[in-house]
Amino acid sequence: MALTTPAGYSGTIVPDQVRRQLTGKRSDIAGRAFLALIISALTASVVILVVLVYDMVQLGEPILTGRLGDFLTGSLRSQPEASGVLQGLRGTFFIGVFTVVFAFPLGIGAAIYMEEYAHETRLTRFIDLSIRNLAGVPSVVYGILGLAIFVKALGDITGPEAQGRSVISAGLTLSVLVLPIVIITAAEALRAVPDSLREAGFGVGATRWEVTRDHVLSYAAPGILTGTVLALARALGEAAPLILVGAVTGFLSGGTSFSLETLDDRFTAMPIVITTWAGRPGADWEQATAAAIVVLLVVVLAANTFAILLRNHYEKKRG
Amino acid sequence: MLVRRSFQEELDQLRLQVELMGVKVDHNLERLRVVLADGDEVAAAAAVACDDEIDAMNVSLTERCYELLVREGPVASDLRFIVSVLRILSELERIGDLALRVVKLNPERRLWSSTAVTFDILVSMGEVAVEAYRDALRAWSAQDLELATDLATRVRVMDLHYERLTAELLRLRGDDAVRIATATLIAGRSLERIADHAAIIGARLRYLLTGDPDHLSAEVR
Amino acid sequence: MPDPTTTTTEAPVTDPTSATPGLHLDVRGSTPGGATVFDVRDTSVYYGDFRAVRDVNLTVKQHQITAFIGPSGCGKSTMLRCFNRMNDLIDTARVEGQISYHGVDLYDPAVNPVEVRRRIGMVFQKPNPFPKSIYENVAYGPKVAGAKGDMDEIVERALRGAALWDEVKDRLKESGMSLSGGQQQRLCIARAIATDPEVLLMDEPCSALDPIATGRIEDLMLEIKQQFTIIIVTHNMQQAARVSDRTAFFTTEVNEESDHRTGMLVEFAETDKIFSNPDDERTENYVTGRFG
Repeated sequence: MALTTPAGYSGTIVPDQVRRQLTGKRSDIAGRAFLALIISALTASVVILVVLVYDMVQLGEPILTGRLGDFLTGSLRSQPEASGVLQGLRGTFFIGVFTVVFAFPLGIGAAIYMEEYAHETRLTRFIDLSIRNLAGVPSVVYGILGLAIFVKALGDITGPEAQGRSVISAGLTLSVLVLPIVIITAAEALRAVPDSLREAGFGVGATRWEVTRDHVLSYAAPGILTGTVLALARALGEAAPLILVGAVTGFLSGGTSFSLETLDDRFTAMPIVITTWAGRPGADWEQATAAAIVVLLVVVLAANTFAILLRNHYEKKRG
Repeated sequence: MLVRRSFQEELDQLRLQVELMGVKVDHNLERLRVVLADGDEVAAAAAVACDDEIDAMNVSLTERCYELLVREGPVASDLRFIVSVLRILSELERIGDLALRVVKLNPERRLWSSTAVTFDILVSMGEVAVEAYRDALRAWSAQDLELATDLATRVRVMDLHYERLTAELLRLRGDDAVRIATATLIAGRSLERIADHAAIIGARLRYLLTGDPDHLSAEVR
Repeated sequence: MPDPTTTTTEAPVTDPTSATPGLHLDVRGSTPGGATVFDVRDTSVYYGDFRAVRDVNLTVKQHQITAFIGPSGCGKSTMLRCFNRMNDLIDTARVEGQISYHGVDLYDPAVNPVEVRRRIGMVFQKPNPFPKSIYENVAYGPKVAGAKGDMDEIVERALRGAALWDEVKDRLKESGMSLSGGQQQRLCIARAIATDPEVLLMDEPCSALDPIATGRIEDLMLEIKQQFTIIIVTHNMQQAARVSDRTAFFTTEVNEESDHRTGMLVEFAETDKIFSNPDDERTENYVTGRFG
């Protein structure tokens, strides 16, 4: 090995020796073991995912191939072969809408303020820390929050039957739940924008808002959109807060309409449908549950795909 | 932290080499005096050989200066130094040539040394020229501004000698008068020019030391 | 050809070839400069408690190129960024003393930094074009300034001014990032001059470029000097000697108590003087490269 000869190369250098030294391999056991470990981790994750999805698809296959149309347009019933997920889809749809309408603008706006406008003080550092902590709070707690605030407040506005336990409360609660995630990921994306870009904008005499709107946001868009994907997936999948906010688990009349007037009625959503059906005995209910899971997966996937397409569009523009 | 050490060493080397060349010129001026005084032929021959060396040194040192200009991109005092050296090298070479011109008159020495009056003036001029040059060389070695400034005054003494010389030459009569006058005039003119060039060396040194560009192009008249 | 007997020393010589015969002919086209654009008095810049540069006194004249040179950390970039209030973007930065622009105190609370930056443009060390098309890069400044008039014309004029028009006129819709380093920097120059500023601040504009690109930008600077006033920070001594009319040499001094280095202005004079016969020994040592 060259490093064992002191003070450089002296004397004649033999080509064979050089070849031996250059082509010899130093055994890198630790490196190779680590590589094997991370490959297996990746493989395991993918395999688990594939197995789960395959399992569900297989289990629910009769319904998915047999009576998909009825399944998607049907309502909650006591017989599994007549049940459908329409009410669940409707609830989930509105929850998604609420998340997009409330959590995204509020969250992104808050992130913009924190990263672009606020001066760094003890207060802002404290706020940043608090938001990070909020992201880790169990979803049940948000459910209680939703119950205590939204359900109670809306109880007066909504009809006597619902008493605030409507999809509005659910949407608001879940918006609040995912808000910290949106803020944190958007803030990270904004922080990743190189300062040279901002300097360039300021340098030609743009105001802070112009710099943010015209340059920073389009540069950070991919990162922000990724955050919204995560947030939306979380919002659509949480069950615990929905229970507390009063989603119906059994039979529900109505709750199928997509019109806005019915927003303050009692409701249900896909996660609740799934958990309810999963608790019922029998192979038929199993089938229905599996089919419902697949439907929810497809919905989330569709929403994510849209966001990813949007992200790719912005990434391309960034050049 | 001192950086560009090799450049600094090259500059120091250059200064010494210029001094060395200056010493060679000095030797030739000494031989000039000897030839003037007794017409020593050995000295004359040696002067011719030495002048070739002086010319060779001029060429190599000039090239070295250009190399440093290209390689090192000197500014401020470094640039003034190299520019001054280039000018002074040319002055030294001229002085060498002028000394040689006088030495080459040696074969006809019998002629122009016969007229005592003019010959005496020539010998005095020779002394002044050599002294002026020695002062210039001293000023360069010491990089002394005062010595450099004093050099300008010597030219006046030379002027007086030259005036007397031409006056005496006009009074010459006889068959060889023209030949004596021509040779004496050439010698006298050369000696006068040697003193001029020594004073110019002083001026270039003053440019180097003060940075005043007037000294860079000053003619001494 | 002006009459040699009546030339006054006040008139700024804009065409050196018509200068009075016998005067020192400056091939670089050194202009004696017109009105004073910036007047800096006893100015220090602090980052929190740390004094980055102290007690700067200098003036910048119109239609001249003024260079700031000095070792790393001597505050020359910090000083440059004071002229267009870019230091405002750093929370802890604080400027004491007075910097006036045509007599107006730049740091007066009533002064709007956005307006300052429209009249005093900046080119940065690493080319930073917007990740948008070439056209949009140049058009952005005038757009936010609310410029009326034909945008196509404004963009073409700026690109011509930056000696880039011929190379990009057929691909204005392409991304600015698709250009080479030297072209990107000229794009940034075009972007800066598009808002028709009076002053151009250049912070080591060529340090990320190869010698040919550098040469082109230096040529450009000498061309546009007639229209703008330029202040350039540079590490490259030869560049400062080549393009600038006046040079300010900054250095660092170690602060005894805090062990921090504070920058200070050592000497500010005509460029010819700084590079042939500077007054201060520290300047001499720096330009000859003896001490860093």
